[in-house]
Amino acid sequence: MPTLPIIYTKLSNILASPDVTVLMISNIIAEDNVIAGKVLRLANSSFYGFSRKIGSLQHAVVILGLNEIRNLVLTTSVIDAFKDLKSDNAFQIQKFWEHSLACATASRVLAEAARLTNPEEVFAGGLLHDIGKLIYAFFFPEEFERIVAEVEDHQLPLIEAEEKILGLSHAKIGTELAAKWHLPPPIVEMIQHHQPEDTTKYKKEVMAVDIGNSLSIALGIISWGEKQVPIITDKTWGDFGLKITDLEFIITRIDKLFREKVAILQS
Amino acid sequence: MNRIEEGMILAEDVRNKHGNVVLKKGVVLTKKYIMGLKAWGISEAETKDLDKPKRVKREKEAVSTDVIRLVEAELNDIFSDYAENSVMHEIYRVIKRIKVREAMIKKIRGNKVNGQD
Repeated sequence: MPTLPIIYTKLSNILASPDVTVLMISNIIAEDNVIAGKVLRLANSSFYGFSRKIGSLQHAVVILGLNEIRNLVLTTSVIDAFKDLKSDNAFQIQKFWEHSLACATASRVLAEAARLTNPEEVFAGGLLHDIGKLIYAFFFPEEFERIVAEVEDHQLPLIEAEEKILGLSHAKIGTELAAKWHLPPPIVEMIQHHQPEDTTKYKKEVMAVDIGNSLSIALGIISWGEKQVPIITDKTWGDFGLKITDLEFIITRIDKLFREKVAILQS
Repeated sequence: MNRIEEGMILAEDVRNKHGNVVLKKGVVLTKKYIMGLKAWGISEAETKDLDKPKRVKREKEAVSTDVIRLVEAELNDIFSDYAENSVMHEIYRVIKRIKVREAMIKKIRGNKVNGQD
């Protein structure tokens, strides 16, 4: 099992403390050049609309805010945790990350539209919702190839193929990993179910990821096993708290932000 | 008689010097038609102007039917028949619009690169 880079754990810990200062946060980030660079780039990107250039890490931390910083560090850390792993199927891995990023973006836009209190956390949940797939892609490459073959050539539904060949679904694997990494409970739930159940505590967050996943597929940003856009019923949309007329704005925004984010994270 | 320009509508049939109808009344003059008429030595005709929004719309329609068909084919591959579901229909509509726009932009850029502009 891969480990999450230590920077995330360090950051999570100090953010939990009531005495945390901007300086403490920037010092931790400064220990990792790559992340520091991304933090600055994000603060200077068009999302934040500042006309003057933000040159210092401390300033960037203030601008972005604690939650956004944690979100960015988590995102980068997750990608980092897997980056040295080798796969014969780089193409599928690339598509995996694109889909995960699209889902993260979509889930967050939806969370903001529905006025949830934790859009950054929903972003992280969206990013990690399929992380189980990545685990078997890297650590069980033979089974991975067979699963891909079953879904692409034999049109078997993904979960069936996974359970047939591996014995468990990517959702289950992802949940185990989330527990190991001590991720916050809402994120664990977003990975565990793409659809809320009666026992789900963070229903709206889980719905945001579920809908975000469907929208990403609808936009054509898919990873293996995703052949059809999973249905979003009128009832689900209503329960989530949005109107049909909101869709135009939401989808357009997702498309725009996704393209911008891909550029930043690939830098 | 006016000088022929893109977007104008022919108010009368255009005939060549033998009296044959080259273009019929009511046709919207696209670039292609204008080049054709010039090849016939015709640079003026009885026309009326389309107001600009209509003219721009017509030009867009002229270019995009094949693009639309392609986008629809790709979408129909991943969208099932969702029957009465308004949310899915709206999602389809919005994404189709986005994809057609992207494809059109690519196409126009492609044309510029090939010097067809």
